Amino acid sequence: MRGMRWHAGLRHSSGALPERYGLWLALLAMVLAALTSGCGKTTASTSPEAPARVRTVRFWQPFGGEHGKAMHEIVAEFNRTHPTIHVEISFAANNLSASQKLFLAIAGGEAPDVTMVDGQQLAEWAARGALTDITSQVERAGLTGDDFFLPRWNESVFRNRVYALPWGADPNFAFCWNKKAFREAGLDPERPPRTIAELDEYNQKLTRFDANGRLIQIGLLPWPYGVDNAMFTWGYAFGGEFYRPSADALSPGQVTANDPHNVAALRWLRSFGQKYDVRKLNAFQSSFVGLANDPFRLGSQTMCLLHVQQVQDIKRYAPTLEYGIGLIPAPPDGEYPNGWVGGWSMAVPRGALASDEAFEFMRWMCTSPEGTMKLGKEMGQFPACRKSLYYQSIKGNRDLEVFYEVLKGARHVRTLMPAQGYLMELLRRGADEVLYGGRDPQAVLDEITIKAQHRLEYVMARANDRTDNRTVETGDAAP
Amino acid sequence: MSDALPIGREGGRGRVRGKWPLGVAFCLPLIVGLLSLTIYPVVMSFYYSLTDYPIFDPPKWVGLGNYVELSRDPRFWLSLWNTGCYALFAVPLGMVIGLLLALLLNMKIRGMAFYRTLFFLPTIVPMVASAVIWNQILSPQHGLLNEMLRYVGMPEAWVPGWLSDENWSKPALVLMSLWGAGGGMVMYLAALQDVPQDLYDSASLDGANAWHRLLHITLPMISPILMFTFVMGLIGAMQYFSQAFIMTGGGPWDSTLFYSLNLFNTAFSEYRLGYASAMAWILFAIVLGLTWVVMKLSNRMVYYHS
Repeated sequence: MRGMRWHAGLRHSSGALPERYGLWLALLAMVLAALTSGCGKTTASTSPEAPARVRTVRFWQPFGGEHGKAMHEIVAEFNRTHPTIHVEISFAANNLSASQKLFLAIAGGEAPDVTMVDGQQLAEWAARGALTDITSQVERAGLTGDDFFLPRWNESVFRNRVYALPWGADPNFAFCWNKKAFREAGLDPERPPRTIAELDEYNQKLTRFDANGRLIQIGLLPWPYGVDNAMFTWGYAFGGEFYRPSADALSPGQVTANDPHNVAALRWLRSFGQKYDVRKLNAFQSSFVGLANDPFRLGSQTMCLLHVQQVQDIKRYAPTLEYGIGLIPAPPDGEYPNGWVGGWSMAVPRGALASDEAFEFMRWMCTSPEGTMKLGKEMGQFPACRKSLYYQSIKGNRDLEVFYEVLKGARHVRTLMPAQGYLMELLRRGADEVLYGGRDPQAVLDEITIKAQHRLEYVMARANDRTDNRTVETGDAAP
Repeated sequence: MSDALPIGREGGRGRVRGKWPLGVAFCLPLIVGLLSLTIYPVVMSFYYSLTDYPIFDPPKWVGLGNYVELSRDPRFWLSLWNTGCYALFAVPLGMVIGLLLALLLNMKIRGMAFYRTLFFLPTIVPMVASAVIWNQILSPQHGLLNEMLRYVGMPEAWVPGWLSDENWSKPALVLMSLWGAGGGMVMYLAALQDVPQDLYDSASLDGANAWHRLLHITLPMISPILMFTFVMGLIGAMQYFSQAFIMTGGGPWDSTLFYSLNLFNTAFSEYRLGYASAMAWILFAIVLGLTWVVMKLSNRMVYYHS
């Protein structure tokens, strides 16, 4: 009977409306309110106390752990020095092949104001319409390609329009060797291998098995960051190219993954895998997990391809390690010195307003003395801004100076084409087929070239459709 | 007021009929949730499966094009094969281990609650944490498992490469899945305790030994639970994703490219939501078909005592 009374009470409160509709509407309203309260983007917030209007900039970034903490500190510094802007930092995973949180947010019209984008993703994201053109803001701020290391600037431009500001510049890679291990193997600790033939010879001397045939020390592991990454590193070292852009930058260009130099590089990787058994090498690599547990720093791996961020890791985890640092070996007809530049950029996703506040945050991060200095000091990465004061601060640091030389000399980035992600995936699969399955490198790279070219043309055709539609809608000329 | 009226048969039905909006209103949160968060996405995914949908552009109708392409896609077949192999071993082995544990833990000995907790614990360890632990256990070079194999005298050449070797990666994941057999174990344990003791007693009187009792009493009596865990295990195995995503990324040489992982990569690395939706619907059809077959076959094999 209690239910009845409650029911009767409701009927009174619903006034003129018949009982059932009143209740229906009230509940519907509640449900809708509950469902929609989480939605709706707040880009601006005002506080009654604050005299000036504080604008919120939502920023998504992919770093966790130590690097994530450093990122939070950098953003906190920006917020401290910019009282009218509040940057709200969130994590969004991006493993270079997928960034599903961001993709779904863009598709759902709930994108953040600023996002990190890896340089190699830019062309694809721009071509697929995931990013906002920021050319006019870049021009108004007086920024040009001259402010940045050229390969990284190129990674911010698609079809002559600017879609991002380059933030970091990774010189990939420096060649690093363990001097003590060199001495023990009877090698000159001051003379690293210079050619691939020398590298093979050094490897032979530095690889050791125990009495049971277990690998206990290796020379170089040529694919420390995955075989796809290694294909670029060694492809460029062997003198190869993976893509030739069209002259006008508007038509698709040509994928050249089967460049003879790339084929030679993959052949060399295969010989390496055959000599030391690719399964054993990978078993060896997989037994080292975690930042503190690195085979090179522990002395089990005696040569390595070093990333600039790892310089501080050596200082922290292996302060007594005696090592030399130089350039990646290359064959006589290859490229020496060699290297390619990677790095993260900052962009405005489609659907977000490219507000002045958002751009100011990007500009501060990527070009200001404070922002770029923080990137170098807190994250141990090189800024993409060529004129950053950071580069004066590293004078006298032998390790970082080598990286600086690699960066200044590097001509390459991973391909500037909107099927780069797919090409990476194909290279990963293809290299596995060669290393594990023993397939012929030439045939594999020929197949990859055809597939990647096909995808490239598809994405460019889609991009053309979109440009045409927009031109019809707005009456603008295509850029 | 109608409150005062006696509730007769007719009156009651009339009142119920008049108040259906109230009932619906109470169910509204669920209905709205179900419609917007389940039914709508399901319907849309079917529509997307008939389109070319590169996430950032509106979908373009391609009819059955995605399904036709799938039938010729070697990676689709490869991922289906990998998933089938995994399910073929992981599901029955998981059930056998779970049942063995349950039979052991159904005995009346001291400290049983402790043992039961012990064997159930792995089930509640978060997936990512257990993946990281197993990465270490399975490490070919210094992992616990291989060190044990070496300790008992296995020659180095025979020690498996587990996740670094394309021939051992699936067995490694099956092995790892058995760690979670405690989930099935608790259900078998509950079912075992429902088997009437007098059946065992009379069978013993008739001269049945432990094996006969297991085969002719225990298994038939718990067959509905066996069947349930089999179907659920099958569905779970067909959707196997997280461990492969975290531990192997599909490698080495695509040996752990499972169906769901392939689907995920297709959607988010290749930007092909339409194609991935078609894959999802095929997986749904496969799981539905398998479940139907199992149900049909089990009609004669499962005993429902009620």
